[in-house]
Amino acid sequence: MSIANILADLLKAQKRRVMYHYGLYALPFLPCLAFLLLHFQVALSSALLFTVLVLALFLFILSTSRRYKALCVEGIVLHLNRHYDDLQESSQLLLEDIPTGTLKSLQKQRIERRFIDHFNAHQFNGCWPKLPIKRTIGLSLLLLVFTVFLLNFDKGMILGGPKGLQIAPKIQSPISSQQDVVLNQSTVIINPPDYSKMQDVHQQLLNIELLAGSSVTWKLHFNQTEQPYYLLFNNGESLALSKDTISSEFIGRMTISKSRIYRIAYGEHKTPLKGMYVISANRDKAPIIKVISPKKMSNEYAKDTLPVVKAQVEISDDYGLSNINILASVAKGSGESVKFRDQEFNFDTQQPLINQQHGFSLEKTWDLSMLGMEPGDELYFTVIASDNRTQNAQQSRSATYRLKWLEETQAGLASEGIVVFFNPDYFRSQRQIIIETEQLIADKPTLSSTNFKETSSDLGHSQQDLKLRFGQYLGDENEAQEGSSFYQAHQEEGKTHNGAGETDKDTDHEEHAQTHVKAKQASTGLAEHSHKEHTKKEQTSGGLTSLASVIEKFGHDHGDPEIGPISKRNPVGLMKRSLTNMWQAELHLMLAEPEKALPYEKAAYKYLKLAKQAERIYTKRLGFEPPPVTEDRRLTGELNDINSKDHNGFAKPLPTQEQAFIQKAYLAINQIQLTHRLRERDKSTIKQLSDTLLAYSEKDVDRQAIFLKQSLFIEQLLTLESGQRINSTVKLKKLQALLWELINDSPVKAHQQKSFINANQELYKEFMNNVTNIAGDD
Amino acid sequence: MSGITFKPLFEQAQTLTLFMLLLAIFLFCVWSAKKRIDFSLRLILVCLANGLAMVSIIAFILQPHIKTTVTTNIVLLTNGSEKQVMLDQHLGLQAVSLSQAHANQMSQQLQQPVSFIPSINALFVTYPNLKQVQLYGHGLMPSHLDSISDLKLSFTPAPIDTGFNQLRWTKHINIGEPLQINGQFHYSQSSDNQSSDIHEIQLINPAGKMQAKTRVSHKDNFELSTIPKTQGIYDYQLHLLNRQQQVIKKHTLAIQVHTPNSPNIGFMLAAPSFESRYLSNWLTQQGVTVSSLNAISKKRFHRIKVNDANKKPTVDTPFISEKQLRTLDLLVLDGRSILALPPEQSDIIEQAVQQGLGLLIWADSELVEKQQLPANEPSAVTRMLKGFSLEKQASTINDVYPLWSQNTLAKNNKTALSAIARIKATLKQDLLTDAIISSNIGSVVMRKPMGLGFVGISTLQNQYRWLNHGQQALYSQFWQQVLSNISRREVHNRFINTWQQEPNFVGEAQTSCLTAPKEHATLALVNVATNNIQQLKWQQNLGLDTNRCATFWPQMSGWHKIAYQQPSEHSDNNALEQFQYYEDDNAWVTLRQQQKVAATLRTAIKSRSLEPKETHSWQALNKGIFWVLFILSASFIWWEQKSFKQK
Repeated sequence: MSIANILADLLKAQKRRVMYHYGLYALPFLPCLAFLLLHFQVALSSALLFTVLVLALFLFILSTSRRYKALCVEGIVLHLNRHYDDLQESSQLLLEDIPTGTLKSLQKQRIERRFIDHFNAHQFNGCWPKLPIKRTIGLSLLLLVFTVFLLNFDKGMILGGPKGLQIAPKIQSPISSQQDVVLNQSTVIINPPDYSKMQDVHQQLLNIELLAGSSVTWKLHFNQTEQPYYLLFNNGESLALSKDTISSEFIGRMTISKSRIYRIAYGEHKTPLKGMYVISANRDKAPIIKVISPKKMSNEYAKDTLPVVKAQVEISDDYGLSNINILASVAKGSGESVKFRDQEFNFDTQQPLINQQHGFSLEKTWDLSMLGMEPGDELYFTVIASDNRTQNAQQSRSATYRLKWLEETQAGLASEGIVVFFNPDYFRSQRQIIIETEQLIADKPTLSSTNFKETSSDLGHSQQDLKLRFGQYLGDENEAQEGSSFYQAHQEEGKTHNGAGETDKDTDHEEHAQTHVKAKQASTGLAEHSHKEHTKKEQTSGGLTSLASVIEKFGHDHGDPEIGPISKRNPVGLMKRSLTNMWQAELHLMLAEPEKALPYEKAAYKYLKLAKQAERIYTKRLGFEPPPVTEDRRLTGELNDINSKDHNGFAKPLPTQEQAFIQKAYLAINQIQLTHRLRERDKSTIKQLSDTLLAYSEKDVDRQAIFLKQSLFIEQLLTLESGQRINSTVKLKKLQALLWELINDSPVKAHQQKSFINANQELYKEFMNNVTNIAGDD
Repeated sequence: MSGITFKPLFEQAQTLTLFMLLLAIFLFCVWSAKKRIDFSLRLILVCLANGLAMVSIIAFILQPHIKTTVTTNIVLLTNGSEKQVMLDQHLGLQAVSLSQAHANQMSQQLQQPVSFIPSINALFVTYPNLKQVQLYGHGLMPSHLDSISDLKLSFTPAPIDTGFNQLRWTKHINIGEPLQINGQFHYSQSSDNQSSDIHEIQLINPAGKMQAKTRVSHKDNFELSTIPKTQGIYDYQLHLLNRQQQVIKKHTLAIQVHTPNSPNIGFMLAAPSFESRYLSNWLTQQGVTVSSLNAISKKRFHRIKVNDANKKPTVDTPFISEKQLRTLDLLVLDGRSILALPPEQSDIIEQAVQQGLGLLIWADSELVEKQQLPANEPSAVTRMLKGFSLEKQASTINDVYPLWSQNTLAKNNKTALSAIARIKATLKQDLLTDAIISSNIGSVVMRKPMGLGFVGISTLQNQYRWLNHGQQALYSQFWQQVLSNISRREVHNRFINTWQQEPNFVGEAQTSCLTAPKEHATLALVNVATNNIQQLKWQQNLGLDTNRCATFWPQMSGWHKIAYQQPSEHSDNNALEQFQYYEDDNAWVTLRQQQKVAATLRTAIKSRSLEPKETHSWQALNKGIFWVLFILSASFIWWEQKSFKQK
């Protein structure tokens, strides 16, 4: 092996040795690093890999260092010179290319021989510094122990003692934080009441929606089973959960009749867990009764007809019906001798409804003669239905329908071959028309098109009847019929007018008109009407052309009152307005547009009422009229038998207590909104508000979800610590908006005059300064 | 013309000595260099360097100044100027803005530098010789304009954004009183591409539901009103919608609704009537304490008191006595009863009115008759009735429609009442007789001040007809109007409600005044949200010494409470408070713009007479330059010497 190769090998070996040294420098710290990673819950493989990478990185960095790169053959030979004396500090000659025959070459030859001898003997192994392996291992262990000691110092490890290192057993500290208790699993079983025939519901969600009266079973599994658990409800109730020893579940049962909010609590002190849950109890609704036939609430049957009436009813309920019957009253006789007989009936046939689970279509055929009725008698009946709720079954009643068997024959008026029946004495009032129109609108989806139009037309006819009835009292000229005495009289008058000289009649007419106008002006302030122009028009019109023109000519019509100014208190004007609305209502009803007719009907009703109230005429009592009491004589009598008296009382306040509370709650929520904190003194109000909203949720089914949500939000607010900042601005605004809607419009209140600025300042100053004296005297 | 001048120190001996010394050093340096170096470029450079060093030292010590033309005319760009085109003659001037972001924006837009000035007062620091300002944009608030009132101002206003201007609303109302909002709508063509200026204004209640709305076009005045439901502090919203029903502006209308103190009312009528019965019912349902005295016989009375939880008067206690009247806030008498009053009772009533009691007289035919007759001698009754003239009518006047203070219900009322007579005031204007309720026939309820109280007279009859016609609200508002104008004043609310009805803004001066505050009483401003308390200092009120005021500048927006606390030895109402809402500076943009434009235009017009002159100033040269020159020249000299030595 040549010397150059030997030197190259030596260099490599030296480099390796240096790397080993570096590695040994890092070695003590690597276990500590790995242990630290494990302590912070890094996976073992990841920790080891990371440690190896750190070592590799460390070695790589060191390999690029100058010191490592400075390792070379020249350094090797210099090191050999120092270590081996017999090389005579001449080892560097081995690297030189020296020509033979010189002193240097002789020395080189000598050194080569000694170099090879050394290599052959021990391969230069003894001249390199030893690797401090043992020291490194010892240091590593020491560092490792020190690291472990530091990390576990707070766990109460004890060092020393006669038996050596002892580690005290871990003291199991009691569960002090809520986070230790965890609800692992929950099962809720809802058993609806038997009468509802609903299936049991199993769910995992703790927010429950059920039928009021349902029984609920909670089965909860916690990570901690050594302590008691409870359910805390918003109304202060608590339900202790019992432990099932086999499954370690905690079970509780309760029958729910009202909506409520609850939490899960643990421990002797009933510390609540995080989370609030809602139980939404839906109420069983009362049965719905819809009378299909008879359509009218009052029905009349002629004497000579067969009084067989068919009543058809549809009744439905959300969970089932238990009892349906008809309560009927038969009225016999008239006047003071009328007698009533009550009787209960059942329906003849009962068919289930197709589109409703618990709905029936029922029919009953009335044979009035079989009921012992005679012409002139009346039958009133109402349908009563009860649902199948076990406790406190709910009952619904329909409207009362009247069937009248008429006593006298109705005479028909034949006119050009058409038999026209007079209107019966009874006809629908305006209020009744409104009710039936609203019913028709509600029934529109279920009625056929033909039925709908017929019913609407029928109502239109009723409206027309009413309009005519009131119209004839107002002397509506359009309603004047041929054959009436008024028309006939004026027709003759008209002929007389036409026959006589126009001038005389005009003059008389003019004088009469002027007198009439003056009287009219005195009472109503109408503008003057010129009859000259009026009569001139008639002269030029060329005689009678229509009934209206006759009336207009001779009927002293001074213009339509509707055109002229109508006194606000004039009942005639108000009736005219009512009639106008009746016209519109009739039009729309005839066109089968009850939705459009309804506002007109209501307006007509309003004006009818106003007309009734507009002018009340008080008639003077006839008879004894005592002499008027003058003020001088008044209260001059001595009454010793009557004492003066005091009366103290309290008026029923407005608003109601409920409204007053809602307003108070609004202010409390407003305060939270402004300050972002809940005051101690408002907590009771807020708590009461939660209960109030829960109560509302049962009454207002349509907004039940809203009320429950807000109640839950309030309960969450109450769990916050005193002074804790509340950031739920959006939720607070929604709650405020809900409360605002619940507050009724405030009544206008009387109040004192506000303090003023411009006044007698000295006087006021003196007064203000003495105000304590004034208050103190009382 | 620029030049360089030296300080007057030149004449001083020290400067001369220094100059001589430096000159000597210079000459020595030049001589020694001449000795070393032959005449060449090198020598010249050395001499120059020495000379430069000498001059630098001299200049460093003597601080020369240079004459420059100063900036006296600047362009101030306020918000809104981004929409404007600057006039040519202003383009070369220095432009400034009071907002950094705005300055950057305008720099980009105008392609010329725009400086940022932190405040108006800083203008004079940056431009101490400022004489003229060209203002663009929406202008400045009046408080800022005061600082530049001495300058010549020319203002080119920017178009005002679409929105509300001249807006007012009632900020402090009693429950049941209407909240009335009045304003004017401004439409800006440039801000909207639509050709139509018809917009809709909606009043939104605290629940987020629309309460009232109206349609407006440019410069239309509008009025909206509603009655708040409950007491407390909360806000309504005013929304502005465009033609497409999109909300383009939202504003907050903050109000405080007070629960008024229920008055204590007494009735002493010759005979009960429907009117008194209905009125009593309405009052007692609200919790008002009502006392009425009905004569049964000559010496027998039936006294009814409702809602009085405190005391139980006995029938022997006279109804009309100083003590009793002190407990009442309003006494209602009809014509017959007031005419039948014995002199001692009428004196007591007059004295009570002087002390603040309100007196309401329901005129009847007897009063109308008797008041026409001349009085034999002046009496308390005469004095109380003085100033009112009841015009005698042949019969009761029908078809009377009462009206008051823009009440919407009254305007739309269709139910007619009747009146016994018209009332005319016979006293002069300075005695403050005014009509509370007018009507189509004239005044029907009037009042006059009498000492601290008021005497009112009403000729209206059968207001209860409103109740029969289902107009409960109108009936209530009528009596609220009458009672709030005649009854005794609140003595325990010392706040003088001079609050402006326009919005109040953060950073603007606000004033709170109270009537006759007690000695050592304190006033504090409390931020409701943060509970931060700021004590306010009373100001010396030079006018009326019964009122005291405090001025403050709110720093934060939102609700604030102004709390009055008086020393505990005063038993009446130790603490009073009133709430006020302060808007952010960026709220009510159009209103603010309109205010700024108006104020700036006024100031600009006033400043037209000012003629600024061009000014020059002397500006000191930067000493650092001379220091650098000295270093450079000294370094050159040192290097030259060193290189010479080395050779």
